Amino acid sequence: MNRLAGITGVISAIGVLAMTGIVGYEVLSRSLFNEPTIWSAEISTYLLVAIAFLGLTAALRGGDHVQVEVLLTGLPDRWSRRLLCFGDWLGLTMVAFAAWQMAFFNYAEYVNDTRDWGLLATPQWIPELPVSIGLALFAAGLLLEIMRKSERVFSVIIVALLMAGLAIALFILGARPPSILGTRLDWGSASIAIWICLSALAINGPGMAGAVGAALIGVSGIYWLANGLGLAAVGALIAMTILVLLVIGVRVALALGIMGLLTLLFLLPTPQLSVLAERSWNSVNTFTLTAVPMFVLMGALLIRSGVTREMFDAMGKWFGRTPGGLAHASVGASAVFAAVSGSSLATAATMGKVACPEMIERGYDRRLTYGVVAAGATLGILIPPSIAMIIYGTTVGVPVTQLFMAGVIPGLLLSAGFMGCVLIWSLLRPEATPRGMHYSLAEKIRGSLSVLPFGLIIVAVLGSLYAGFATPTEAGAVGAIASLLVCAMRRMVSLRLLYETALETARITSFLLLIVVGAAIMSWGFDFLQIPRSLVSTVDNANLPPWAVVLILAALYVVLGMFVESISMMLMTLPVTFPIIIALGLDPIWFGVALVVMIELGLVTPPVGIVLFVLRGVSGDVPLRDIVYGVLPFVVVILLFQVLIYFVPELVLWLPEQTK
Amino acid sequence: EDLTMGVLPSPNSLYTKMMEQVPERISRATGGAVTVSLNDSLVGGTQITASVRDGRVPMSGALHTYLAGEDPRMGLFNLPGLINNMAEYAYLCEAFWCGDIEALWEERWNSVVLAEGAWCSQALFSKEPIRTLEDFKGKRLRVHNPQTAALMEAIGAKPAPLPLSEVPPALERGVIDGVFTSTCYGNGQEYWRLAPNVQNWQIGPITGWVVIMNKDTWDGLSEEHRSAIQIEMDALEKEALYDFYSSVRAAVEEMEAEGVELWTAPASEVERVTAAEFAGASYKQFYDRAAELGFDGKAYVKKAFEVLGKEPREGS
Ligand code: NA
Ligand code: NA
Repeated sequence: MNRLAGITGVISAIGVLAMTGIVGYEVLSRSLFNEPTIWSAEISTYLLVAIAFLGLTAALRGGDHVQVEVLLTGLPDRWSRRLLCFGDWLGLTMVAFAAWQMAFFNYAEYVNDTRDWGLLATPQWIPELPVSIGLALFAAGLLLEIMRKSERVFSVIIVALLMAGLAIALFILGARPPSILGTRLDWGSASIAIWICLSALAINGPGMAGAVGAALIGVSGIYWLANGLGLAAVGALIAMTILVLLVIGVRVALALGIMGLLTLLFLLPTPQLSVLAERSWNSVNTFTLTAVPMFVLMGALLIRSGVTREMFDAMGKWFGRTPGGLAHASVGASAVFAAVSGSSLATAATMGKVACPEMIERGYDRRLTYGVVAAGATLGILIPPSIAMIIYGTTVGVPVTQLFMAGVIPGLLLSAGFMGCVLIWSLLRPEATPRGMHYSLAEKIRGSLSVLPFGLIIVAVLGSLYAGFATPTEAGAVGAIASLLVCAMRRMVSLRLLYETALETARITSFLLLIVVGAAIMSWGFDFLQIPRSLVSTVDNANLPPWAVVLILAALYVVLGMFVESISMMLMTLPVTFPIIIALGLDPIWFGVALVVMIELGLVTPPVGIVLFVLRGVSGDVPLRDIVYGVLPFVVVILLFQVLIYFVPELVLWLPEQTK
Repeated sequence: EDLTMGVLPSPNSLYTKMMEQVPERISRATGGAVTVSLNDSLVGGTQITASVRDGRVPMSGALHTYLAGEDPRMGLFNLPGLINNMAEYAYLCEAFWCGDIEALWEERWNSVVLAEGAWCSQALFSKEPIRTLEDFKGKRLRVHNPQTAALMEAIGAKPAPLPLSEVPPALERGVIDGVFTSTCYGNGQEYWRLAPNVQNWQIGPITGWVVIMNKDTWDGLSEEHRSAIQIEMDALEKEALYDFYSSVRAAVEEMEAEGVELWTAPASEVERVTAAEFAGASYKQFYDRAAELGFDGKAYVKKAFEVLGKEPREGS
């Protein structure tokens, strides 16, 4: 089983490299020889699907699927372990439902001979196969994970027999299992519930089995009764459910999926379980999302190339004896790195390794050091390229090119804001920022040569985008190839490097896109029940001034951002907040940038701030508390900045207007 | 009973204008017993047929052309030189084709067709004028069906299957040189700002749409409601046909007000572009897929030409 996860991991890593090659080939063939292929967009999208779903188990083994464990740290160890295990059972329930539905969906597509409407008319069951396999392996992987964490396993053979039994039962029941006594529940769903309880009994004993069983029955009962209640009651129930799922440590993507599953089973006029399969397949089978692995790969390659350290050193020389010189250099280097990286986490990991040790060694205050690096890292998703913007643009249908442009000026301004914060800090507490050395102009210029590789990549990415060689999604591949060239020039390219970066890319893509799937399932139910629309009309009828609505939304995002991982926060709220923003007459590009700024805030606010965790991870022994205190002044800067762009939206919208 | 109806987001189009009438008409026909809610965000364009087939949404405003890869009869109207205008499309529909595909909708997609209609005539929006056969050479054009793609490839253009969302940035940056789309949709999206040459080449000029309902849902309605709904939907279908040219006209006038002229290709040049040596590829594709499905594609196409009083084309 573990080996199988390894193999699928390798396959999805190869998928990443193949996709880079294909997209790169398309760009070259089209721009140099005017020979666009009719297959590259479609094939690379299928590869994305395969990468995402076959990478699920590798991501699981790597601990990549985000969950909110920290809230459990207050509990005795034994209890937090039990709660996590309980959450794993609930997550497994959702994955089992999805795998079951996907298998039948896939088979039906084979029988119906469904073809893609594109020019290749590809039989859809072929690219759907990795989804079915990936989900089934993910379910098995989750079960193994539960067994691995459990103190005693009653009998491995019984667990295996139960799994086989479930597969046989579902197979016999067929695509549309009969309903139980004419109710809305069917025997297929019941089989999964029974299987979960029996497996919990075999692995964790009667206590856990009882708890899981009670939860399944209790939640089903509540949702069953909730069908037909007013939207306010249903909305409150949904919000409560998500909160509880997150607090007990269910992986975020699966928490969204469970919420979707409950809606599909109990709240719709008739149960619609096939949505689990249809959304799993279609939400990832989206060409614009192929940019995600490309920009992740680009960052991963650059991190290993070592150019970041040299660039940081060069910046340090330029700031020389300026008070807080290295802290300024850290913001500057973060901004430059952000221009070649699509993710704030990659920026945090890189700058955390490069800048923090250097600053601490030169006697900088620990809080300032980690605070400024954490703040700088958040620029990763504001300065283009940005994975958050790609997902936002894909979800709401706004051109990613324009979003990228819109992030440039805010990114530079926010960098300046962070530097201003450093300046004030060093004036108030001079001992926090020891003076640096003086460097001659020649030394400064010589050091600056290290910025060249970044220049090359920025020109390659933005140049290909705005000169018309590449669509936004293809620019990512150009960037990845340019990063590979930088590595090659430094004689660092090896099979090992390629494999490791590709596997890392596959894992990150997998965990990000599983969140996209979970959110897509959830929002299908919401959309069907017209929850977003009713909220919009509620807001409309309240006749609040726009600033008040924006203020309420901002407060909502600040609170959510404390607890929820950033991309999930965006995807779980967009179905509701985006229509409200549009109804208020605000610009969708402006909102994209404002949302990204709120996400940045969420990345560095405790208790759940992923950038904080990343820095804690690379720092070794620095207490999380110091990082949190250090970042607080910068949080204030981000909040003030948000107010600024609300009152001066031109800061966001001017540049995209110019490039139209 | 409230039925959710998935539709495509397509502002300012005849399609949307017609879809917006469906709830009111069905509610009126059934005295409020059956209501319909339109939803343009629930299912994406290409998933709209499978969603109705599997009952995820009970109704939708769907397109045949998305299914042309599965069954070429769904894309009959895309064959070069077969249909030149809405009158011919409507006549072919009436004669036998719509009956055939209604049976297909029922058999293969578990759907009952309630009304048929068509998008505004297709136009080619391009950055540079494309007015002769030679102008097509090397142009990267976004197309949305396999038949037109085959023709474009044969005349030396470069068909590019971009997703619709990527069309505006791709036009803007010159990643593509032009796009085939409905005149009304292209006008609604203001494609002419990026691609100011709007040309009617009569290549697959009409693309149909249908209002469909899941068959199980339909069978669950009372006999009385079904016939009342069918009468209203027939009326909708007629209106869509009558409104067709006025909608095209309105779009063309709106563009004219912006200084954009619709250019129509002379018959002689259309003849050159759809000559046997080029059009043959589209026809061959139709016949090959027909053979896979086990029906005589040649006979089917021949019948279509004969109904329209046309000689089957050379190469067809
Ligand atoms: Na970035
Ligand atoms: Na946070």
